[in-house]
Amino acid sequence: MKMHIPSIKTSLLVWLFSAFSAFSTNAITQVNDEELRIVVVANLQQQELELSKQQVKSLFMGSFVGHELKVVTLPPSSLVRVNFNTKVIGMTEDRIQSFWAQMRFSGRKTQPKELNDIDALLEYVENTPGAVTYLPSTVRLPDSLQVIYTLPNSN
Amino acid sequence: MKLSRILFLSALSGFSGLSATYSYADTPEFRFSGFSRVVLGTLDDKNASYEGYDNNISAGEGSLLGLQLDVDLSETFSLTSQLLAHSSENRNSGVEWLYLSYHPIPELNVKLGRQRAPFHLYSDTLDVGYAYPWINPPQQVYSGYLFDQFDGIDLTYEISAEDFNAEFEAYWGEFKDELSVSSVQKIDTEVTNMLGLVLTVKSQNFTFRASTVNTDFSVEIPEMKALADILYQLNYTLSADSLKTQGKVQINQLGMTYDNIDYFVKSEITQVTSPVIFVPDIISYYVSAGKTVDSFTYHFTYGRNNADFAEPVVEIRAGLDPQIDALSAGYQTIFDTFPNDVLTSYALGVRWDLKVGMALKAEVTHLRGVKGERSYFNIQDLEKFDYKANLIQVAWEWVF
Repeated sequence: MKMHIPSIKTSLLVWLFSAFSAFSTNAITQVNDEELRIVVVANLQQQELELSKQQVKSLFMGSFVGHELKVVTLPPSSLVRVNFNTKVIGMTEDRIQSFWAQMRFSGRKTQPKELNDIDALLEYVENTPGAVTYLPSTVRLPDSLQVIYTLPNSN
Repeated sequence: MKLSRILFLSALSGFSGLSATYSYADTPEFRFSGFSRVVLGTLDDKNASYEGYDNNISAGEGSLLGLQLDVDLSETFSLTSQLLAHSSENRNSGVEWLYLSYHPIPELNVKLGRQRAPFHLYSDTLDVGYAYPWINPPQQVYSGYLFDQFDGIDLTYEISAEDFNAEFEAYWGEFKDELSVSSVQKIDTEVTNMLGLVLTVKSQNFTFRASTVNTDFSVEIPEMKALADILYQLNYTLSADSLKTQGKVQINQLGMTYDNIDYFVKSEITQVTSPVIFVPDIISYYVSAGKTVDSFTYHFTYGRNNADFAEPVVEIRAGLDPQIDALSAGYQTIFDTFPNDVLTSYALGVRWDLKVGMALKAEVTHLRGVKGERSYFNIQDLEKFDYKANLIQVAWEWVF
């Protein structure tokens, strides 16, 4: 397979240039702080449980945290998810996706189930014992769900 | 029948028995997924090639397509198969993975069947370029293993604490393979009794990984064996012993990664030791640092290794008999022709995540070999080649 080298080199340069010019923009739109405050809630059938930040991170990255929990999340386009990634997981969505590709194709762990919006999340968690998810703190929680972690505001 | 063969066949029969098992089930869950990469590259040197890249732009050895089928047999059992189609001449396309998973409790996962050995952080997903930041994972650590698959069992057990999470992994197995040493020459290799242990600890933004593998390894080379037999007959026992084509191989590894929202650091160091004549004692490592800006991740990666083959034994006295001299010369020649892969590399690259599951990458790697060694190069002109070259690559990575 042969190609005309100069044209490839030029397009590579253009591509690198556009990569650098993207430095100045920021993909995350500013949203009300309260909207972005996050709680992690679970359907534990009234059992007591409180997780540390490390445990919440481990749980959403597929690790075992001592309890049989079923993680469900919002899709990558969700701002709540972006905020959760930034403040709890500490990685960008792209790197999280890379991690899940590594886990899936080495047969280690399976990516959490994704549901499209908060209503669907709430319905799933309410009807699934052991289900756990994150939500904006402004969402009114049904009595059957309990908060197992609250992200401090200052974080 | 050997145990690993039984394990492999049991995984296989799991597949063939699927239709029978699942004609009774309500909703058998089949999941198809896959990965693909297209890599183009060129080496800016006319006198050598490197991993299939020469002075023209070519698809090299890295382009591939993998398909994975996962079937949930029950709450605790599932079956996975991965098929691979490959552009490399030195690898066979076909069943790469085929195993039965057993997940009885959340903290334990058992895999039975054909798998890739998790020697290093990315060893078992080297084909999935989307999983790592580079186009070429540092070759000093990741290339050149004489074996990377096995038929056997892998157990992973997790423990959790408030500030950390730990994973213990143990695997055991064996594998018979036909290794391509060149486009025309193939040799039979056998890995038996391979035992590996891995400890991974994750805390905050850090991941630490330590692993060790010990295996029996043998290579079938009739010419080498014939020479050793003659040496034994003539009582040159030390010389004959030094032509060992079987023995233990030990691989030790330490790795560390740090990830946060803006940047990452990854580093791994590996030591390989073995009395087998073809397996040099190796120390190799890399350090990689990356910065993320929106959808772009830039990395700089430094890699280096040192490989030492055994020295020939000084036992045969020259000048006694022309035939013995010829034998001695033949013996020396074997040691002189070992291709030693000693390399220092500096890579600069960018990865652009276009959308979930798809990325473009560009990478420039400055390669510095050692004069007189092979240094992973395929050298066309020994006189002109200065053991320095730049590899320029672009890649398209996709998982689905």
